[in-house]
Amino acid sequence: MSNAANSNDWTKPAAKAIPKEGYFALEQGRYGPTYPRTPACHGFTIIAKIKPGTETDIRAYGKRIEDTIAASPHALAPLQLHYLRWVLFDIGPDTYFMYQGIFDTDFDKYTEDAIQLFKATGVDTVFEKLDGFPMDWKTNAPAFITFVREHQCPSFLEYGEYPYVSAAEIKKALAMKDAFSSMLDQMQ
Amino acid sequence: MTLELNDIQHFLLTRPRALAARYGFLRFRQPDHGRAWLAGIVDRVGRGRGLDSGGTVDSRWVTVAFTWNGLRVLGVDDASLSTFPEEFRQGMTERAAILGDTGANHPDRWVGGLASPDLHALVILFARDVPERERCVQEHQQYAAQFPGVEALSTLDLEATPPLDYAHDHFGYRDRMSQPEIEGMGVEPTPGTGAPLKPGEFFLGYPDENGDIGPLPQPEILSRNGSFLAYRRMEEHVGAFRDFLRANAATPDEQELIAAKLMGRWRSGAPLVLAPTKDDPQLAADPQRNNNFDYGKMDPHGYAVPLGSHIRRMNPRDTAVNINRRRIIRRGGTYGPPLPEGAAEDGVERGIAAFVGCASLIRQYEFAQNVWANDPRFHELGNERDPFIGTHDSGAPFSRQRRRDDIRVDRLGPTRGIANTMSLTELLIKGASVVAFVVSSTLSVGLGLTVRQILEPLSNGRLVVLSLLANFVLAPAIAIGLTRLLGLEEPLGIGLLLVGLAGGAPFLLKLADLAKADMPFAVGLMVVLMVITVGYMPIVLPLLLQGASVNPGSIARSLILLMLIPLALGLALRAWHPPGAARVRAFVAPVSSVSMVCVVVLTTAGHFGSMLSILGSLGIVSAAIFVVICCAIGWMLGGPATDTRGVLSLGTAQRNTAAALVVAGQNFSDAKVVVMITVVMIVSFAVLMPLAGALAKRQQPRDVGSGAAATR
Repeated sequence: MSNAANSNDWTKPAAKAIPKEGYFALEQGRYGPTYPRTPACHGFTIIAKIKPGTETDIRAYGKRIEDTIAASPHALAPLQLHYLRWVLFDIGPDTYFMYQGIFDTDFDKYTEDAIQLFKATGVDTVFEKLDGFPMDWKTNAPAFITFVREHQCPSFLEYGEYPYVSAAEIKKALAMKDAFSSMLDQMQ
Repeated sequence: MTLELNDIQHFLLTRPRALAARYGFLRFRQPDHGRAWLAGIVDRVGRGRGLDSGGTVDSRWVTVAFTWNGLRVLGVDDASLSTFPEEFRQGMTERAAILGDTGANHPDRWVGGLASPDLHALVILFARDVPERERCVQEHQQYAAQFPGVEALSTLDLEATPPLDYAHDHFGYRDRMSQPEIEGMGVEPTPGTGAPLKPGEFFLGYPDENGDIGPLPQPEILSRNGSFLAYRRMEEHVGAFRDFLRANAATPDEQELIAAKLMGRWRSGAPLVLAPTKDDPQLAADPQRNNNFDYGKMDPHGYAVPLGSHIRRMNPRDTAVNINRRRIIRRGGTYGPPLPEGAAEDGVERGIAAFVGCASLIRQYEFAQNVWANDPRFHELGNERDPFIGTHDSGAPFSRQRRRDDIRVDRLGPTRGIANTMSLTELLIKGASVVAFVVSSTLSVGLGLTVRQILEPLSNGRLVVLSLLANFVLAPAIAIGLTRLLGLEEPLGIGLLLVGLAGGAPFLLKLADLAKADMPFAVGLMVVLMVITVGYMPIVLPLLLQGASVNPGSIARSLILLMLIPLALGLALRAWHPPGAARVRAFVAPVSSVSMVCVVVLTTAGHFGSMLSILGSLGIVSAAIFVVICCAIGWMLGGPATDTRGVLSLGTAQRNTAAALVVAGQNFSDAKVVVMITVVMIVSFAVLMPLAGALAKRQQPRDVGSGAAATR
């Protein structure tokens, strides 16, 4: 198989500095500029002010999602995620929500798939607690995506200890390792 | 929620049997004429009404569609216009980069006025057969004549490609194999098609697969029961496609297999999942079986249907998320005359012109084009694109998962975008000027020489061997070395290599004359190099460019036809009737100069973008280094006499760009190859003309000396 795009050597850690706008050359995607894949794969960092008094509700989402995943571990599979980090922090009197995700699909496809998932699982999205979020998001995907894009803070540095490796590839490698270990066990 | 069939155009609802069609692309120069035209034709538009009772199709098959600009011109107010989705407001030209319509598929190259903001409406007619279409066209023309303010920017006639027993494209692939059904239409989907989809996926104002009714552009009467359409026109280079299959397969069976691997179905339509090793026409023709497969369980690794093949990208079935929100309905047909099996590429445009219908262009149509067709990492692949509708500006590979061997598909039917591109006349002039350049220059060489003149100066065996070494071993080696050393883009490297392999330019005679060098040697050298080039290129090029689809037979054929035969004819006429030869030559020689200028000008004008990109790359630098090194090699090997040094120096550096252009035009669709050859041609002039002048000056002391003697 030709792997020109994946030819980056995973054994060689890599870092990439990213210009302020979040991309090197302006390349239009369906909903706006395309963000590049970096040694740390695709991803985003969404930072938005929360509506006053919603902090407890937002924190409760943490537990809700834990339970959802425990019940159906592959619920988020369509998003092709590596990691999610949700953080709440204060600036002055205001509280902000940070949604940081590292994934393997492109930015717009992730957001489209996420909207679809939120709807399918019947979870009202945590985004509804954010200032300025379009409340008609269920029927107005473009407005949701515009909100996400407006609150995205591009990284100016991304680093990968095993650069450009997708979650699917990591899972395949681990499955292989398991299979190999079990083969060695069987041979005893 | 039942479909309001009386208010829905039949176009996406059903597909009546139609063997002919006409698409008309309209401009409303006067809004009132546009409105009047529309008011009169509404009655002719085929609606879904009638489909529910007895299933007979409305016989009026006219469909009408508007661009956003068209709605504006017709008088829809600004507040309403702003409620339409952004991708529709922008139009396809603005979205071209997202759709991969770049390079050869750039909107600048779309024909028929389709990239113009003046495109306001489309009127689409499908008809039983050609006579019925002609009758309807006549009728519409009479009707439209009342409204001079409605102008046809262009029209396109479509006809089914024979044999007519089933629908297929010019490449021979059976079409219309897999189409979503719409809930409420009462059509039982064939096995494997999936449950009927909610109407809201295709018509505005209905619940979609999520159970939601999406926002309706205003006023509602305009958008409810409507759909969004995208129009694509894709030229199919049938001769190139067949050459590609031949170049990548040893037997006809293997050719069929490669054709099948690119598509995911045999050309008969039989799916590879169900018929992985051998075609099965009976399976292909059986709608109960021919769509009944999945990928996740039946072919997870792509051993039967390659992960990057067309049908796996356009409909990943069970291996994509939210698949029911990405489906589209296709309508269209083939245009242009069929190219008979075995016939050479005739340069006539033919292809597919189709509409894609959906409720959201950005979620359905653009997603399929942007993510499924053009995502290089689709299914974890590396750097691949859809072999048929993907963007292949720089040539993307295509892999078959079983054998893990890459075959290049950079020459497969480049899409010509929503409509096409370079105008036919420009193509004709350019093709004609290359041919005129090649034929006239070789013919005039022949006309001016006798066989003895050619052979006599070649008695110095050592010099001849060194000349061949310089021209056919060292020059291509330098081209390859420079490509690697400077990391040139592939098409530029190919251009340089073609030039490196092609020796014996007729222009050498002009240069040698200018340089006051050994003319007889120049004559002999040039003819020998030219003749050897004709035999050498077809053999060596495929060896050096493994994996590229070059066709040795066609290279040899065209070089013999365009170079050897004119040379032989010229020599024969010169031997048989010298005064006649001289008269013909007086006519042919200027043609050679003029057509050479035409090639340079037209290549520069036609590929200005590529030319600019080469300016920014190392293309010009590498061309200059190449020419200079060739000069040096010729000088070193051409001794001991200064006269012959000069000839071999010029003769090695002045490459036979005509031969290189012939081969490039036939085998490489990337314009950058031709542009690179032209760059070398221009750089050669710039370097070699002054060099020839300098060489002539070296001779001058002798002349001055004799002049002085005479004065004395």
